[in-house]
Amino acid sequence: MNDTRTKLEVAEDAAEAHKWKRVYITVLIYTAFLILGLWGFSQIYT
Amino acid sequence: MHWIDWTIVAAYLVYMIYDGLRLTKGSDEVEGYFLAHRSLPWWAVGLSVMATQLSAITLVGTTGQAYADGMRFIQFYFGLPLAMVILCVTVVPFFYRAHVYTAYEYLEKRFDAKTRSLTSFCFLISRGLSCGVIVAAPSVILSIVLGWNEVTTILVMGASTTVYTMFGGVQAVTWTDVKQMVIIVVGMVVCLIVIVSQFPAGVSVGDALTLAGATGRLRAVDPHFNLNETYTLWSGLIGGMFLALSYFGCDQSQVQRFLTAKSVGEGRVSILMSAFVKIPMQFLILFIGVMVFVFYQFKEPPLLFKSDDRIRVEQEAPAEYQALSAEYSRALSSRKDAATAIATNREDPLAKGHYLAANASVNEVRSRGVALAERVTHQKFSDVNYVFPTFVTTYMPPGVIGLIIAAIFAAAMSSIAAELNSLATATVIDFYRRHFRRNESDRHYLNVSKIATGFWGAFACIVALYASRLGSLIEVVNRFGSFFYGSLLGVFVLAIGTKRATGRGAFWGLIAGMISVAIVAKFTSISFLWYNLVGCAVVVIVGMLLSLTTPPRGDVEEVAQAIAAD
Repeated sequence: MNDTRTKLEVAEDAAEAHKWKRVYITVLIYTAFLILGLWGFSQIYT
Repeated sequence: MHWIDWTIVAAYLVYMIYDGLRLTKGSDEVEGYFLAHRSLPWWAVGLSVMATQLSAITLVGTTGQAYADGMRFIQFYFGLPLAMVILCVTVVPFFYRAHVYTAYEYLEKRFDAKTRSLTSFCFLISRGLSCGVIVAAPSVILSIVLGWNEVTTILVMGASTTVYTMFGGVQAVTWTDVKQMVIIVVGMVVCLIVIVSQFPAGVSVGDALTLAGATGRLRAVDPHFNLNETYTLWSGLIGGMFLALSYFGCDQSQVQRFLTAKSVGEGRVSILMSAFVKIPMQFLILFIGVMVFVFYQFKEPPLLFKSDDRIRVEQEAPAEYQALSAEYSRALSSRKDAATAIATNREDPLAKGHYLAANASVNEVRSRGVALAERVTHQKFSDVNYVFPTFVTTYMPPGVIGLIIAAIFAAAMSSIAAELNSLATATVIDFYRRHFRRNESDRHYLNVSKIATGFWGAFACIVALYASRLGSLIEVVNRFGSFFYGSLLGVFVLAIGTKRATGRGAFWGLIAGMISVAIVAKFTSISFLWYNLVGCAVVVIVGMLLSLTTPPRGDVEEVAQAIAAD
């Protein structure tokens, strides 16, 4: 199946995978930011 | 309730049923009824995913929990974004390309029919029971607000949702979910604004935060590692991640949501929406509970929020109740003075000390009130779920009460509808079509699907009649899930993550996993959030060991390639 794919298709798939990788990293950084923010919020008022 | 509130609630209910039934035209085939012909946009699916997860239990139970215990519960969701990323990489493209109706259908392609049937059966039992609990939650509120008994409210609630789900299928479920989600968010934001605006003159939001913080109610993150403590940073990150992996990746009520998306990419974005929005949204809901606590520093709360038990105690132990009530009023008055002193001068350490002492006195009298209620009613007393509805109906202005009641209805109905639809899918696809009538027409299966939806609606109502007598509803639902879902996750790890696992290993591994969780729950004090990890680990280990004793399937690679090629 893979043999029939053109170089363009392979490049498109790689670009797509890269795009998703960046999205996932953004989600993880955002989550870490939220947890740290909540921890800081707790510290201020406790 | 004011006529304006009645009008809002009635208009909401009528519109939802009308809107759901309006969408029946897209559900004249089984694929349309269960998967909307895979045509829905990511934002609608994403809102549906969130609405399905956000039940009335979340609104009523967690605001009450925040009132009583603070914001620790938010840690429960810390593992959710991590789980969503893992699911986007693994499960979403896999199920979508497998062209399945149910997650369990894939297990027959990979293992065998008995593994599929067992996992689907577990789903039906656990989700059918939890659906009953989710029907019960709004009945708690309605029984207070409308003055109806719980049986009537359960039947009205369950029937209206069952009607539009039965005829409209997944199209009706998703598009009503979208509207219900908007009503929930608007209702919560308005509720918060009204609470804060009702603080006494001179008490700012900063003062409110200081008061809440002094009692530890803003402690949202607990970094200590303790297996017996339910809500800590680590139980949330690790246990919560396994719970979210199990729920969003193996529970048909969630898998079916992203299977309706237009493409794999849209399916991924739809569940990543929860990764971004869930924690802030839960923060808002818990924050409302904490602000209700602050509100009650300046207004006198009832000694017992559960009104029917309070009336019973008043009647059966009048002298004791009156003495306790008088003592409670005096303690509340002292606490109000101490709270006002903090609002006047936040930096005064002496004022904080006085406030904490006064708060401890209030808690002590209240605990004696709870003990009295337990002695009179001869059962464990918990009124956590009654705090928010009591507050709303007592202090919210006309119009806002109706809006919040509609939001609670919306939260309940969105979850119930999605679950009824998924329960019907598993019943028809995994059992009826697979084991009983294999070659009937599409019209026949469509009619059976509608009957199955009606059956599960009736089942949920019957369970609700008993579930409403249980304690904190939110924990009940999570416990139901924790007994099964970790083990189900283990089976999918074996199916997708390994080539060597066999049907025999997966089947007996699943049984071993569920028995292990039952043993852990019975004989240890480990928090339920860890059950999913235990179940998953046991299934993978036992499943792999047993698989090594049986010859592998020769076509595993071909099955995987066929799915990838699609």
